[in-house]
Amino acid sequence: MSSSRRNRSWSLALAAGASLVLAHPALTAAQSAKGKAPAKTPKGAKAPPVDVAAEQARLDGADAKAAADAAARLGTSADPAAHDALLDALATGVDPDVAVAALRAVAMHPGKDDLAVVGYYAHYRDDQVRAAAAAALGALGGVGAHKAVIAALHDDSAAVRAAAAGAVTAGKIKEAAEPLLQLLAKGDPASAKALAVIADVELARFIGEQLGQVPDGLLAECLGAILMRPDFGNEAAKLQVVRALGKVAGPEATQALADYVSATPEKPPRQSRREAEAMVESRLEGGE
Amino acid sequence: MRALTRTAIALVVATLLAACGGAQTFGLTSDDNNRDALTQALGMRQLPAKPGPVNATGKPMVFAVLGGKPRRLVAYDLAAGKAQWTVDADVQSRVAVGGDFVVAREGQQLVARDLADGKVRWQSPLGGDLVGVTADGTRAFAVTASGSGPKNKPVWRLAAYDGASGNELWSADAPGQLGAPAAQGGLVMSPFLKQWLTFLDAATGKPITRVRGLDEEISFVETTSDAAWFGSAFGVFRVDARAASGQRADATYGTTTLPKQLAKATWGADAFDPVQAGYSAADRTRILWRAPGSGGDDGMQFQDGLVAVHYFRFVFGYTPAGELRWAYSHPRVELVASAHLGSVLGAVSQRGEIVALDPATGALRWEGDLGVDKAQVLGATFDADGWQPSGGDAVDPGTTVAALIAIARDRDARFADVKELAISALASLPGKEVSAEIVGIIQDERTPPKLRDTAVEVLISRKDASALDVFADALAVPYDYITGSQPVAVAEVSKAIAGLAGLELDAGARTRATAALVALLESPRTDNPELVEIVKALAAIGDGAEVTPLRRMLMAYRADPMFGGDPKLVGAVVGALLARGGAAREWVAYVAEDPRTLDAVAQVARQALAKK
Repeated sequence: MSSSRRNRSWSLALAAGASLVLAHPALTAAQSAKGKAPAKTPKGAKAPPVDVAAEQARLDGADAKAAADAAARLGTSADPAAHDALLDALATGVDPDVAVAALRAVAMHPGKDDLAVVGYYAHYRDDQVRAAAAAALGALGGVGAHKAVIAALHDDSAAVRAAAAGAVTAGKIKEAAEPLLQLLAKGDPASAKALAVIADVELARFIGEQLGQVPDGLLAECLGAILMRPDFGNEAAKLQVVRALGKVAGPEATQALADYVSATPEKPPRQSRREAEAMVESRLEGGE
Repeated sequence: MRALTRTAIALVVATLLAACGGAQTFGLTSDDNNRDALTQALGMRQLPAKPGPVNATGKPMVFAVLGGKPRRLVAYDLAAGKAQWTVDADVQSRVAVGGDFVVAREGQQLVARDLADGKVRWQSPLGGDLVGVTADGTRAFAVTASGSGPKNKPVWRLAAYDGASGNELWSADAPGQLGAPAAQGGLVMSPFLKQWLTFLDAATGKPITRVRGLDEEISFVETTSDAAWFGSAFGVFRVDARAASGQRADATYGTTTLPKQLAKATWGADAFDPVQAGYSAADRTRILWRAPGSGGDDGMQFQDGLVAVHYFRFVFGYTPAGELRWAYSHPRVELVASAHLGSVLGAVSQRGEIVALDPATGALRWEGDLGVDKAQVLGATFDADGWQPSGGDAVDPGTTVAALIAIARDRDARFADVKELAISALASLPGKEVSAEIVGIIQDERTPPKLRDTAVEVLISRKDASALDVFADALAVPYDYITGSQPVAVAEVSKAIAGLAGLELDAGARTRATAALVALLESPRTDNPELVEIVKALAAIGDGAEVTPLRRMLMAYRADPMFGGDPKLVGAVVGALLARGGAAREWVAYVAEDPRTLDAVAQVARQALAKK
């Protein structure tokens, strides 16, 4: 069997997508190393074209550091060949550091057929690789990817759960509410913001009722983040959240209420703001 | 006989020859092993027409001694299922049952109580340490040891007492150690110096004959209503004319091969051990048997072809060859006394529960209660030969499997050996449910490591193809941080699956098991040693379905040091793929050649390719 990197039989399920070559500033190997996201092109700046063939050769080489760097460069290219090269590399196996870079790169130009490859890496044994896969799945979108993101919320690694929560946030995956609530109850810090992003009025009410079941700080963080969402509910819904926050002890709740007061204009007058303000003053007088 | 015992006896005999000499009841010279004399003696013996209790009422009874201050003696009527009487009694020995009385040491007295109401009938000073007490219909017999011989040398004394009055009828001193005696139908049998069993006329004390043990020492003698028995730690002789040979081969002799875990069990209470003159821990490890007399020369035939082994809380039925036939596990507390009553096995627990087991199956046929409240039963004597519990049918037919599982899962840390025995015994018992229980034991985190290892060995050795769905269920538990779930004993269950290679498997179970194995293969929580076993299991039952996941694994991890650094794991994956040949071999060849493959992985792949 040929070992050609273009042999489509290596890849799990790749499909050629429409290609568009985008210019992008060169990335250093250090930037693309594990744990660091590739830099984004400054708005309006024109990125230099990527030599896909050359980068692919580096990606396919035995030098993991160079391969990771090449993966990051290929991610900046909208050329379907660049995307294919990344998927092929992942499908045929790479060093974990290269996998992290390649998954991030794939997520920059997600394709509808990426799920088979990226989904496999969602179970990879290295935590950082799984975290990168979870983030990439969020970028992919679609039912299958969302299911995989939700599954990643059950991961033993906090880093992977955090990446999955980030994917929920990015994709506003409402189906993730239940595991996120369970994570909130377990005190997982990644859950609060993600829940806040997907919470509707009903979910916000339910979250408010979790007083005593969820660590106060996290509960306050979650309710506070809901309050800060401009798209969240009407005045009555906001008032409900403020009152729920008012029941939560601790400085985090006070800070969340204060933030809401600061972020909400005085006019037109709103009861939620008035009550939040009164709560903050009362707490400050009480020494909180 | 052990060399030490022989030496000890030789020394004692030499001493006695020097000190005593002359004819006496217990002398050193006698007409030993005289078949005619023994036949004559046994001809004097009066045995009941059919097995039954010794006591004159004919009621099946059990007499139990309760701890506390004061101690109490309970007479329990098994037929009526209730206590006949309970009295305060400082019982310090076993209780012997006569026709209308019971007798035991109380304090420093030999005390007889009326069987009807438990009231003291008579008492007599013992004059020494009680070695053993027994009774027949009308007499009581006691052996004592004291330092009252010439020059304060110890002397042993067998005395007979009238059961009605307590008057001493006769006595015989012995210059050497006497053991606890047994009386039956006009005969008294008294072990002497662990080498002889002396037969005396119960009415007069006149010695009739004696048997000398040539192959084994004689460390106990006991009776049932239909026979008498003597023996040692190694086996039991029936008291019949053939016993006169003194040798196993020519006597009606029985023994059994027990597993090492039950080695403590003995055929009878050591007649020479002063501790065993009373109820003791030794009563909790006893071999129980009955053997109908054939009258011929065909040796001992145990009833049902089995002996029962009472071992603390457990009772096992074994063939003489040592094959387990049944098991009974008594809940929570130990059985402190047991007896083979012919019809049933009777046992009394520390808390006063009484059970009757079917000697052929171990099924629980009857249960009662002494009603001892919080008192503990110290020991008990059954006088209930031939007792047929009311109802007849099993209260709980139970199963040997359930009993063995109960034993294996018992939380009592003292019985590690017996648990190991129970697990090992499960190896030969068929059935998916057995495998399921063994898996449960393996998965139970409270199972001690040694027992777990045994259970794993047993599970693998069973090669139970019918249990594949059980194995699949055990593995199909996902790792989940939120719920806290995780599969347990992955490597062990995988090993059991690997053992099924080549066996006919249910297609559905195979599919489920393969799916569960693949899920674990691709789970980040599965560690390398587990992965090795999973790969082997997949190779064993995958039927080709393992190729794709194994190929994915090899490709995805070939550049991963966590994978490449484990030659066992790499070797297992490569080996499994090569075993399938065809395209799978080409993937291995690719990995062996591609520069991105870690050297360690490529090397294993190349070596494997070269071999195949």
